[in-house]
Amino acid sequence: MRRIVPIFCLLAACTGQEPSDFVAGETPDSIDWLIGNTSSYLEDSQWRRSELEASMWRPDLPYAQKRLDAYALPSGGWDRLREFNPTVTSVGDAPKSTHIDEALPTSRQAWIDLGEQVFWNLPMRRDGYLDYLIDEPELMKEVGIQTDESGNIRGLVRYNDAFGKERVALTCGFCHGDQGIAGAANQDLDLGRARSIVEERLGVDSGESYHWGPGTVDVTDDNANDPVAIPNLWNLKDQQYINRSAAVALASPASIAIRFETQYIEGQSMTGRPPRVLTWALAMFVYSLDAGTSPELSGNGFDLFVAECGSCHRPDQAFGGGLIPATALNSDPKAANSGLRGTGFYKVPTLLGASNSTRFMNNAAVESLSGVLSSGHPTGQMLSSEDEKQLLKFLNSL
Amino acid sequence: MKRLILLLALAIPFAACSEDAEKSKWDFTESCTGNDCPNTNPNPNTNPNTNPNTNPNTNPNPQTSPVLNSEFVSGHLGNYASCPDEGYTPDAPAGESGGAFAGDCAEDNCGSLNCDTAQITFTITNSGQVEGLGLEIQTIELYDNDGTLVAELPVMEVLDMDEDTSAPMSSINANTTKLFMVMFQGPAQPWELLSTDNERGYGHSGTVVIRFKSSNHADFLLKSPLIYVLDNIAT
Repeated sequence: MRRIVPIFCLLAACTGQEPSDFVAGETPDSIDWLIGNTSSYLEDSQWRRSELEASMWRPDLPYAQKRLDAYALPSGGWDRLREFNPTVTSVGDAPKSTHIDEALPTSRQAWIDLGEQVFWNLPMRRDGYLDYLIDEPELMKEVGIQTDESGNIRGLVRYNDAFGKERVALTCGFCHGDQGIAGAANQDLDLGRARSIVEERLGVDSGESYHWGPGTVDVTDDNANDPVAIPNLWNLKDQQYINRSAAVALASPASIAIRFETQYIEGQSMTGRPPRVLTWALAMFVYSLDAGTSPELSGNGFDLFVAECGSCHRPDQAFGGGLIPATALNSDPKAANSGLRGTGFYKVPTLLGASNSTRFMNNAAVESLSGVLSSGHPTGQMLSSEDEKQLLKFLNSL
Repeated sequence: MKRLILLLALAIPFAACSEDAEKSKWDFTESCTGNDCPNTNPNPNTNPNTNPNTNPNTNPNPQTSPVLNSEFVSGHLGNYASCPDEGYTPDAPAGESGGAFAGDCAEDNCGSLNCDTAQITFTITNSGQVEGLGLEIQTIELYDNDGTLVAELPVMEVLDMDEDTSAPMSSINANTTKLFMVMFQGPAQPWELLSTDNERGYGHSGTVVIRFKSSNHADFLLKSPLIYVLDNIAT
């Protein structure tokens, strides 16, 4: 058997940042940690500020600057926004109204349950084109928007915005709730196509601006077409970064709560902020998500994985890892180099959930695991056919 | 919440800054004094967290006058990608370029894809013992990242964010802090208006200075940190 050892990883191309006050693997349970720090998050802006700063490891990026300029300041800033937790109504055949109770949960399970409500119901971002699409079932299907068993659009809600105007907004579950499974990326969702369709109808020529492809979204307004794959949300407790370009370090579990809080603020055009008890609960819920698989950590397939892939996709980090320079991969480096949130790196993504995935690499350009091995990814290119078969068998157990 | 159209907006002289016009750098000395003046750091990028508007008013007799200042809360420069006619352009009078801005855009964000009105949320605090009267926004100035004044942006309306039923930003009681939002016409083409040699990537950011006046208090200012065009996809 001939193997190519991913030498670039051994040469520290895969780097990682140690969390400031939370050590992954040593802190027994992320959710317990969150519960134990509830009062700090809810009541201590200095604590939240320090947690934000720990997560913004590239403070020079505009993405970070926006948050550092506005979040958890001694006075003023986004903390002063009104809380925004509107009653929402599901969109579809069986509309149902929901208002999320902001009472402080009293048990671990109650926190997670509250977070699940937030995941599916709190309007994260209003998008104008959704107003047009909701009355076009065929178009919705064409762009991968799903309906649930009641005939309601999964992860979409109606609500009144801060000015009392009725809007349609997507929730976390819209992109990360494939087939009703919280955390699973909807890899058929083509929001670029959805935008193009609506712009066409409005007589706007958007050219190739939204030619992103299914399962991807361009999250940077940098005048470049640099979509990235919608990620699964599995096993955050073992990961070091979020965002494909790793703009946010998971310095502690609070990083993800602050990430959610600021995301909701931006998604609502900075007209309000979510009650923090809700974003704290959402963090706990997301930390509770895993792929539900049980890979066997022994045997030839696992050994091959460790040898071929394990230096970057570390088994002890949810088969993901730290950072890898975009130049070390042969996939599109544009998103990693975006002027807004590009770090020059991609995070090494978790491979948990790979067995159910149809999109791979940072830009979802490869549609199968075998395709990854043959597409120039820096591993697996010179395996014997038997070894490749064994490796794929292991990968398909993740 | 009901909206209050600030008629003042229509009365503001729309000092469009054409490319040929002489651009002024950070220079606040002509219209403010003492602690009312904003930080004149020529590079706002390096001073992200020091709000210059928290300085106390130095009114010598706070018992007979209000003590007013303003603090930044949030804001953005809008997004006019799908409705460029709604945004500010330096070569057209505001009333023309934004012919529908007080209608379509204000009512429903232009009813299109990426079409959001620029806005800033801020507080006004009266820490004195006397009601502040005759409060108005005089101007909203936009500076690029080099500190150059590039536009005076037309005010559209001011909303009182604390009241279920809005009240005009015409007065503020003693010992009171109130939350307001001003909506204004943001740049239609920020990539041109705000382009500087030092701009990294495609941030389209600038600094906004709001000048307030009051009938029983000296003029005062609010200087924002860097604010940005609203993302097409905020995530």
